[in-house]
Amino acid sequence: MGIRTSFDIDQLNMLKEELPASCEILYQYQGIFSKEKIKEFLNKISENAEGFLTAQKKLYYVLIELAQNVNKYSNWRENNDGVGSFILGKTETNFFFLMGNIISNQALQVLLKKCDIINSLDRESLRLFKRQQRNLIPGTNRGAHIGLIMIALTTKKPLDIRIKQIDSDYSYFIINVEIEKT
Amino acid sequence: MPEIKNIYIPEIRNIYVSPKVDFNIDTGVCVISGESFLEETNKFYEPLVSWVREYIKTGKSITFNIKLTYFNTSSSKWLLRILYILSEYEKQGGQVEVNWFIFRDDIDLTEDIKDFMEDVGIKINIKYYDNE
Repeated sequence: MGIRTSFDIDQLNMLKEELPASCEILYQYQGIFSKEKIKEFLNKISENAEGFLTAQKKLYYVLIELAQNVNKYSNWRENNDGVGSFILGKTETNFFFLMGNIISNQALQVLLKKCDIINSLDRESLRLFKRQQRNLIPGTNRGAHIGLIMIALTTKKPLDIRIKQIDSDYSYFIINVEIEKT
Repeated sequence: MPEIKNIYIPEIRNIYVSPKVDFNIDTGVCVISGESFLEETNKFYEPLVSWVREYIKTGKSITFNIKLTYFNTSSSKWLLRILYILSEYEKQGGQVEVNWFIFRDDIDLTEDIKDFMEDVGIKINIKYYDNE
């Protein structure tokens, strides 16, 4: 029922199609987003963004929110953990990461609507939206909403979403996060 | 009223990070410090919320010090709940002091604390680590 049990697309290649020009890949991964693996992603950020304290902090924050979402909500699962893909890299001016996961087209429509709302708001409206969402009782709103608002606030940019349709049921959802080297 | 005891939980830096907690019934000083990137925040924070609810029944003053440098959005919802309880206590005449310790250049957190203040209607003193 909508749960895939084997890898049958090359997610990393799809992520690589979205790389910014003139970039250097620092780390790449495709597979289970286990807790241990998320910790490894964070270590890679610490190692590679050393000396850029603000960037490191923002990357760290945004990565955890997104990686936890992949772990919880990816439609492609192994041993109860979501499967996804991740590339960390840098350009001359920015650090960036691309993160992708399989999502049902039905869930995608809901998610894209949330992203559209977030991207239509200016910073003050986003802050207000965040406050409304945060005031909901913990555990009652399922997934990926206040986290996405916080990502837009943290990066100070609209959410950069790329979609690749796989078939009539599933798509590959990619988010690109860029943080200035500061 | 159930008897409450001091809470002391050391910071756990495993795969996810849970903060250090030091809630003292004798002094009324409560400190949450470190980082809060938990997967199941309710298990961690529900006992803390209950503790604060019970503590304020003593009518004693409370100083709540937040020294979290990182926390995920799920943790932030629980912090908000605690702040609402403290705000209610203050409105009923309780003596409440809330301090949030941050690094001076943390603009995002400064902005977020202002939003917490506006929501809860409680004064949060922003204290900078380099002034300690």
